[in-house]
Amino acid sequence: MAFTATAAPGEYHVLVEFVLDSTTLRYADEDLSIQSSNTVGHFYEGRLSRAGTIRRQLNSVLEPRERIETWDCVLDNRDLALAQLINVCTFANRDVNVWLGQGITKGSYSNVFPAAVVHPNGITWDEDEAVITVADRRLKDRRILPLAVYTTASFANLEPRSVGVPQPIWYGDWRYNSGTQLAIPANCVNTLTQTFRVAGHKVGQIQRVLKNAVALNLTTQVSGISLSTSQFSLVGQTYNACTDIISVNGRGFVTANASTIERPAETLKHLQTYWCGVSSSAQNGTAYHTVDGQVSFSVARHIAEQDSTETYTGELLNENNIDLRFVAGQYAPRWRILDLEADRVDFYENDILHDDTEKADFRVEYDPERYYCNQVRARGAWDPVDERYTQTNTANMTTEQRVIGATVTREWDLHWLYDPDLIAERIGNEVAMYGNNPMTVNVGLGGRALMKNLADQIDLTYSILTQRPLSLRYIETNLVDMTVKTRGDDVYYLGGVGRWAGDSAVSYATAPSGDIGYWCNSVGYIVTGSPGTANRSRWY
Amino acid sequence: MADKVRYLLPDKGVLDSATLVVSLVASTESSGLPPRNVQDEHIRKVYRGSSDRLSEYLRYRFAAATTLNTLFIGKHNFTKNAIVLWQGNTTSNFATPALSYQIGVATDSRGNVISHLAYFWSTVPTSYAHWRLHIKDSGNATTNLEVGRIMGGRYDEPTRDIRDGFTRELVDPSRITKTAGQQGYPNVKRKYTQITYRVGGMSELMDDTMYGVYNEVGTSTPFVLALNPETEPIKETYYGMFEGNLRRVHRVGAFHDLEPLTFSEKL
Repeated sequence: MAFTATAAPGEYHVLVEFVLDSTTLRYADEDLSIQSSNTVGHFYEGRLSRAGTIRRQLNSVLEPRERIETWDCVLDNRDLALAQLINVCTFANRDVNVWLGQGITKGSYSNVFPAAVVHPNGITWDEDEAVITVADRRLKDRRILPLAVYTTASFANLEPRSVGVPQPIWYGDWRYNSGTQLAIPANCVNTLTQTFRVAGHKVGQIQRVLKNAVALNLTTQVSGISLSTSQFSLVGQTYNACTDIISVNGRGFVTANASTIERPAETLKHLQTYWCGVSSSAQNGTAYHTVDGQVSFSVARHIAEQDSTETYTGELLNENNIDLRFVAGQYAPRWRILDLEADRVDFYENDILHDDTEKADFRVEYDPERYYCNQVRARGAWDPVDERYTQTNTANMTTEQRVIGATVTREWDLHWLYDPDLIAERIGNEVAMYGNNPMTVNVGLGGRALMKNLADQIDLTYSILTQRPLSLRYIETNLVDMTVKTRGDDVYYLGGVGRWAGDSAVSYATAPSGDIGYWCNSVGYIVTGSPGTANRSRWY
Repeated sequence: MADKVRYLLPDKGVLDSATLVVSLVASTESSGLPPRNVQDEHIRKVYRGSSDRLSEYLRYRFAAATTLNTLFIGKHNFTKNAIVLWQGNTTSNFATPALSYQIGVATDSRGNVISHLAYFWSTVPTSYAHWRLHIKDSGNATTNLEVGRIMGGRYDEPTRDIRDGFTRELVDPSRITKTAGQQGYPNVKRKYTQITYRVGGMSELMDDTMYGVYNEVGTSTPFVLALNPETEPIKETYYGMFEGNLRRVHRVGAFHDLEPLTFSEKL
C-alpha cells in the first residue's frame, strides 16, 4: 500500500534512488534501513543534507501542460564518497526516483518525482556537498516532429522542391464527404515514375487522389497505392511541379482494427507512444480510457512543420480542455470538469498553515494569469493544400461586455478541431468559462495534502469560501517540514456553474461533453437517478 | 559502587575488527541488510533477519580465542520480553555453549523499550574463538528482528571519578508547522541525548587522558560512553561522537580546566 497522507504525526522521510548501470545508490534525509519485504531491505544513507522543496506546476489553463521541473539533490560529500562515485559511475540521464512517506517499510512510500539526471551540466561537487540536478523524466520524451525529411539519399529522383521538406504526419479523417472533407498534399518522391507520398508513415486509407482538386480515377489514372508507404503513382498523367498540386483524401493513422485514430485521448496516446517512445507502462491506461469516454469527438491534423511534441500535444490538450499530469511515473490525462463532490477532499481551517502571528498562509488573487475574455474569435480547420483556415467563428458574452464596458477579445487558432459545430461549442464554452473574473487561491496546507497531484480538485472552506472547489495548478512540497504550498484555480467559476442554459439548449443526455449549466433536481441530479449527472451543476 | 565512567574506543574493539573476526554469519538475513552491517559505524545501517524471530543469531568466529568485557548492541527492535543471550564457545556448535550471559532489555519509566543494550563485565570472561548473539523474541509483532551497530571489546576506565561535570540534554528535533489554534502537523524525529562535559582542576594525568581519547576519535569516529556502567549500564550508556574542539585552560599548580566538550548520541 502506498503512502497515505493523514493529519497524524509521523516520521516522514524522503528517499532518493539513483538507478545507475551497475548499482542503485540510495539516499535519505537520515540513515534508514528500509524494508521492501520480509526478505529484502536496503540501507539509505542519510546524505540528503538539504532536502529542499519539489515544485510541480501545470502551465496556465490556456496551455495545460505540466511544466518540466528540476530539483537539486544536495548530498553530503564530506567524506568524498560522492566524488568517488561521480568519478567512476555514469550518472547522465540515468533514472532517479524520489519517494515520500513515513517509517521504515518501502510500501509506506510513494514515488512523487520520477526524474532523470540532467546532462550536461547536471553535477557539481565540492568538499562539503555534491549537487546532482535531476529533471522530470518526461524531458526524455520530447521530440521534434516530423522526425524525417525527404532527401535524395532516400528518394533518388525526388522533386527538387521537396528536398529537405518534412515527411508529414497525418492524423484523423480527411475523407471526401467525411471528417475534415479537406485534402492532403502529396510530395513527388520519384519524378521518373510519378510516384507520390503523402506521409512519413503508414496510413489508414487513400480514398481519392486529386490533381488540381479534380479527383482521378483510381483504377485507370492511379496505380500502386500502398498504405504501408503512403505512396501511389500517377498513370498517363502529366505532372508539372510548378503548377500542379497532387493531393489525396483519406485517413491517417488507424488502429489495429482499422478504425481511425481521431479521438483526443487516443490521439494523445498514439503521439506519445509512436513518436516519442513512451512505453505503455508509463501511461495510466485508466486515465486515458476515462478521458476517451468523456471527450469523444474527433480531431485531425496534418503536421508538416517541424516543432516540439510539447507544442503539438499542448494544442491538442488545450483545444479539448484536457490537463496532462504525470503521476507516479505515468502520464495521466484528465478532462477539466468539476469533479463529483464526493471525489473532492475537503480542507478546512485547521489544515491551513499559520505563521507565528497566527496569520494564515492564504492569499486570493483574481485572474493573475489574465485569461479573462468576453469574446473569443477562433479560426480552425486548416486546409494544408490552400494553406488557410476554412472555419472562423466568434463567441460573445454580451452581458459581460456590457458590465465592464469593453470587449476583451482572445484570438484563438485551432489546429486539431475542424468540425464547425464543435468549434462553435468549444469557443462558446471558453468565453463562458473565462468571462468571469476568475479567482486563484494560494494556500499552504499540512500533511493531508502531501499526496495531492496537479489538477486534483479539493474543496476549501475558509474565510469567505465554503466548500469552494479548487483545481490545483501548483504544488510545492517542502521535504523538511512535510507541508505543501498550493495554488488552485476556482473551478466553481471555470466550470461555468450557476449560469442559465438557453431556452434552445439540448437536453443533458444529448448535449456534447463540456456543455454546462443545467437544472438539477432537489438532490443534485440533472437526470433524476443518473449517478453520472449528480453535482455536475450547482446553484448559488 | 565504582563511580567512574567507562568508554569503549574503536581501537579496543574486537567485534568489528577485520583482522580478528574471520567470519560473521546470521541464522537468516534480508537481502540488502546483511550481518556485516553490525560492524558499520552507522548505527541505523542494520542487520535484519528474514523470518526467524523465535531464534535468531549472529555468530562471530575469531582467528584465535578472544576476550571482551564490554558489549554494546545498538538500534535493535527487540521487545522487552526478548531473551538476549551473549554466548561464548570453543566451537561453532552452540547447542551447549560454554558461556552464556543473558542481557535484559531495558525500558524507560513508561515501559518503552530503550533501543540499545550494553553490558560490562567486571572481570574478564574466559577467551573464546566463537561468540554468538542469540535472540528469542516470540512476542515481537514484527517478523524481522534487526540490530544496528554492535561494538564489543575492552573498556577503558579513568582512574579518577569523572562523572561529576556531565550535563545531559534530551533533544527533540521534531518539526511542527503550526495551523490555526496552535495545532500542527508534526514531522516526528528521533530524540537523542547530548552530553556536555565540563570540569575544573584536572590533573596532568586526567588532562592526558582527555587528550588521548579526543586524539583517538576526534569528531569523526563514534564510540561508546557509559556514565554509570555498573548501576545503569543501558540507560546511561550512549553511542555517539564528540562535537567541537577540546579546549583546556591552564591553571596554576599543573591543573587544567576543561571547557565544555559536547558528545552527541547517535541513534
